[in-house]
Amino acid sequence: MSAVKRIRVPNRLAAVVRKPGGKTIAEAVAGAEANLEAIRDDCVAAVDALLAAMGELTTVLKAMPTAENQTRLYELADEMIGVAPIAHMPAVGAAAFSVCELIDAFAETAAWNWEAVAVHLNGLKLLRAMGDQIDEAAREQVLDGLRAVVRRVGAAEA
Amino acid sequence: MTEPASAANQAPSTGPKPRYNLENAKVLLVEPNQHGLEILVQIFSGFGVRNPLRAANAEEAMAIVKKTELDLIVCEAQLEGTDGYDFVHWLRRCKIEPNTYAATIIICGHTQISKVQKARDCGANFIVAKPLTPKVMIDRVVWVARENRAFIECESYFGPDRRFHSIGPPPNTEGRRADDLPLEVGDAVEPNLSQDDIDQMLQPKRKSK
Repeated sequence: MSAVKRIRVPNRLAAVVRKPGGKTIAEAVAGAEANLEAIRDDCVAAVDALLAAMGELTTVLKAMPTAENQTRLYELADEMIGVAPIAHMPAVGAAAFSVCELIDAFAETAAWNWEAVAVHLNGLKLLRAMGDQIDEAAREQVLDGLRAVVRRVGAAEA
Repeated sequence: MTEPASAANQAPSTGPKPRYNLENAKVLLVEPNQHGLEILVQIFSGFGVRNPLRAANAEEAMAIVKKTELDLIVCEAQLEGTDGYDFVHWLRRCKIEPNTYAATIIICGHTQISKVQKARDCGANFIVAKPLTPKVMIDRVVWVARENRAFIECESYFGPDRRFHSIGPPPNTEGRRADDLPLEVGDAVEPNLSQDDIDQMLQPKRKSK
């Protein structure tokens, strides 16, 4: 059993934020939200670029489902999780999260199922194309379908 | 990690609202993706941070840690080469003061099953899941600024105490700390206090009007 040492150090961040001036929580949030709104169009373009890259990679994966290609798809989806909500497309972000879950399930079980990837790509494209036109129930239905695919892949290979 | 209460919820309901000054905070943002980095920059600029330092990978972040005293590090988990968890692990063991104790928040989109333990043990003050929202981010920054956790150094871990509350050692363990007490309460080893002893300890007084 190893020895445990407790170290008390001053919290430098606490000392900085206590200085006079600054913002209330509400002011800080409003400032950040205004800044994010200013880059919303850039994020929309980023979502489309990521979606295009994922589409190309999914085609490549059909013939070459290498670990390297799967990792690249995971990285693109992981990036989408952060960007899509700033572009006001949270459902696209949630579908991208499901892609990451799927690739992680493949890695954990040493399985591969291209159709499951293709279904996710179609789901992403649908959610991107529909945008605000799709109602919440339909959006959740699409996302539930993707999550069910991930569960089925994991269960089949377990 | 236990979810802390919202900073906004902790604020008193009356009186002036607390202000947090991040203008002069030295903040390092580590994010490999251009858009991800821009999102972080915009969020922290909105909080009032002037010119946050930026790094695209762990190597760049390490170079900054070696030459600049930092107040806060926000680091993406997925970095090319050395990942965010290993970077924080290096930070905690690098002995570069004061940065080795710098407040550190890891942000992540998706956490692979294989990296859950690594995330828990890397020594970050907090892990925040994407999508990032300004509200969640400022709450976590304020929470980290308010916390007074000691750092724990042992063979397998160096970082803020992961026990948020005084709930004793993990279940089914005896605990490794000198002040860890057993969960089971044993028989009394000394005579019970008399009522007089208790009264003297409490020293009840009439409430002033």
